[in-house]
Amino acid sequence: MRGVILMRAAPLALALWATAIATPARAAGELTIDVSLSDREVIVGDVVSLQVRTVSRINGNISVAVPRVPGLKELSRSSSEGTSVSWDSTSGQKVTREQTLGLELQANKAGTLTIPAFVAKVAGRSAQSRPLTLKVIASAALAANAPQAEAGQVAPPDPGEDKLFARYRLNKGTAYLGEQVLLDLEIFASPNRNFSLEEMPDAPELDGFWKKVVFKPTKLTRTVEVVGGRRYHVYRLWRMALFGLSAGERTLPPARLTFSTNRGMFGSGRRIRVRTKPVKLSILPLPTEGRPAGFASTNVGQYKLRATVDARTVPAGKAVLLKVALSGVGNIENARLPEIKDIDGFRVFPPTVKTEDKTGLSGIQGTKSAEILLMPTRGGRLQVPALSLPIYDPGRKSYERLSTPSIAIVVNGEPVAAPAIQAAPTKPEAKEVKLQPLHVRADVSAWSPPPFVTRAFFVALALPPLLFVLLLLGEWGWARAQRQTSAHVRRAVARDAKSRLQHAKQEADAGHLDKAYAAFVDALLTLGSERTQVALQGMTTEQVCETLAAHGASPATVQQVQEQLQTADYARFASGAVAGLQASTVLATWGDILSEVEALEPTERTS
Amino acid sequence: MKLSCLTLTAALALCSGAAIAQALTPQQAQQEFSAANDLGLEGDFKGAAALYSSLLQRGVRHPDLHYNLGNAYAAQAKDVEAVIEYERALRMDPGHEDAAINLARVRKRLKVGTAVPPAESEPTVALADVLGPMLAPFPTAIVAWGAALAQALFFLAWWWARRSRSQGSARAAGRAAIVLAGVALVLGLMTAGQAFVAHEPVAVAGSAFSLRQGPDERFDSSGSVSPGARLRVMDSDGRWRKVLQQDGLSGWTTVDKLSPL
Repeated sequence: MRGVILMRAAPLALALWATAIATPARAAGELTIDVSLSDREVIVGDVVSLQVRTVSRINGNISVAVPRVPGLKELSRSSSEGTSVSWDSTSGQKVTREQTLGLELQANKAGTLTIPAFVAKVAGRSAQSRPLTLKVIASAALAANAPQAEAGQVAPPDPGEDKLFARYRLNKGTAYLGEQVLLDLEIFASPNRNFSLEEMPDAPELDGFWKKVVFKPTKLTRTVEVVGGRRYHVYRLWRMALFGLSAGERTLPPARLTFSTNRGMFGSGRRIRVRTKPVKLSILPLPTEGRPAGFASTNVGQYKLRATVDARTVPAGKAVLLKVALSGVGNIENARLPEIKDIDGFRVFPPTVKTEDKTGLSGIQGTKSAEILLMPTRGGRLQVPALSLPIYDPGRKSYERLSTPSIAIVVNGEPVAAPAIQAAPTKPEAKEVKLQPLHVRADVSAWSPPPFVTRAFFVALALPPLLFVLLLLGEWGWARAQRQTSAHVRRAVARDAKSRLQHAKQEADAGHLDKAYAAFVDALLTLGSERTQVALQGMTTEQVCETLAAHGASPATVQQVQEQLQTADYARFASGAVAGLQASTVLATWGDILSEVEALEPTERTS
Repeated sequence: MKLSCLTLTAALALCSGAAIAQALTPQQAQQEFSAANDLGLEGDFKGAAALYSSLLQRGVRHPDLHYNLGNAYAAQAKDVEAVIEYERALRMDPGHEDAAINLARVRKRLKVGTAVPPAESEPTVALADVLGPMLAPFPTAIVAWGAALAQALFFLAWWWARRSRSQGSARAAGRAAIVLAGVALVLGLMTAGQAFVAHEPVAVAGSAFSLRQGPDERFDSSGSVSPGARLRVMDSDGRWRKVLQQDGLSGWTTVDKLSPL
């Protein structure tokens, strides 16, 4: 007996022992937390993604405490949860909860930052992650190590960015002060790499430059280029023209781009952040040797100067329009035109200056022009003197002096007709004008535009006639609906005759041929009366036939009508007289007769 | 001290104008208008002009706002700008007497200063020039809404005349309809005239320039326009506009030289 008990207890004890051994191991695996960072080394301003994944097999809600880290600014937070149920033979049904927390953190302090352990809690139990470190490099340190830009070249990809990276490309690594430099931001992607740019990066803040975006495609187009021995599709995001404002080494700060890759039908794919490498650009001072007097440092470029007048011969008192135009490649918007203050024999009006620049892949080029109204103050042959403008041509690496020839203008007659011109000073003194006082009591928020520019006015204008027309239409429609037209009556009588014939058929089917005849006669006389406009109901058979014949009924039909009316008379007085007739034959004849009568041309009723 | 504070307020308002463009409540608009008036009354016309301009940029519309801005410009001897603002005030309110007076005075001063020779062309009289002064005394809103009301009453009377069973009331309604039709016609024509004058394309010359005989720089000059001149836009070809001055001088100029009203 004891042996039997021992034998039965042994598996139970074994199971208890196995459970006791397995419990701590299971407890350790019931709640886990794992933290990962997208990057371990970034520069100040970069954004890193931190992912916290918590897995729990304990019944209860997961709560994760997010520690604050000085130097890391939380930009956004996302959270997702999932539950899965599994079953095994030892513990039965198991519920696993998984929570994923995503944090976007921006590094805003240089140094090695420690992200402390994250603690997850479920139903009184807790688990914690390992602390992580993040190295944040100062932008200045990065700038100090930035490589010198090489004309048209880009740096090969770093390890880890072999499939997708971004670079700046400069058309020259060294430029003179005020010289145009073209800067491109380009994406390099492996040919089999699918990606989408989440947001078009803005042009970077560049101190020490005057800048303008000269090309920004609405749709990205690609070229193929080999970089670091690998083939890439290259996409230009924008091209910017830079003009150095002061000499020295300038570092272009990195541009940051965010991509989504492997975007599927149901998800947004993986997010990848890349940044360009900073590059250095040397801005050389303009040479002092040979610098002409009156040179303005904004006049650097390849320019031409032109001066034209709208008329070479003018009558006295007529103005001449002098147009001075500087055109070419360079910072045309800030270029200076030659100053024209006084011209002998002319009164010079202040110029109207305008700039027309064309931007494109070749940078900025255009024309800056000044229109100056010259009013002759005396007659004879006058001269608009030669104009000159010193510039620096970075292509030739030398100063140039642009000049225009002098222009002779013949003024016919003496401007006696316009004494005011001679009397008027070059800059007229502002004569005191007595003005009406300010209007200080106006309620500026109460003014409304004139009614004829508002929609409400046109609605108010259009509504009454529209309503009137609608009412007229409604009235007309109502009257029409109420009116009994002859066609209306005709259709009603025809319908009534058909209904009576149907009734006659029912009576014939029921064996009451005498009643069927009575119904047919009713139908015939009603329809006939309407068609002929003669009351047939009180007439003899012969009169009926004559009337129908007179209104166009065929002789055969008249004959049939006569026979059927006579038979109907027999049926009325002796129902047995029609007992032997074939109902179907009779009904077919009636149908033919009624069709024939219905087809008679209606006659206008006469009084 | 107060003056400088107000000037600072004006500058701040100008700087932040774009940012708060949509957030200006009627109370704020009125407050800023009052602040600008204070500046103007204390002699700080530059600050006043800045505040008035800031209000206009942020969508506040009132003839007096343009009028006061015109005064601020005129006080700074910015006559062309003043002319443009007075013209705009008159465009919004043709019956603005003070704007008309100040415009005439500033124009007079401008002519003395610029002394552009008179054109050889014959003076022209446009329909808008005749209609404008004629219709100016009648308030636009009253005339327009009066026309709409008279028209509505006319149709009501007509309907009444049609539906009335009594011959007497039908006759009375018919007479009323005829009178109302006349009133609606007169007021409607006045409204149409006011709308025609208000929508007439007119601009002011921003500076002195020479007009061309055709829409290109290579055409010969047809005459010179003095700054602040009122020009009627007759035709357009790309960025070129054919303009007509009241003295009959006409020609082509580019759109950038014109300040539309």
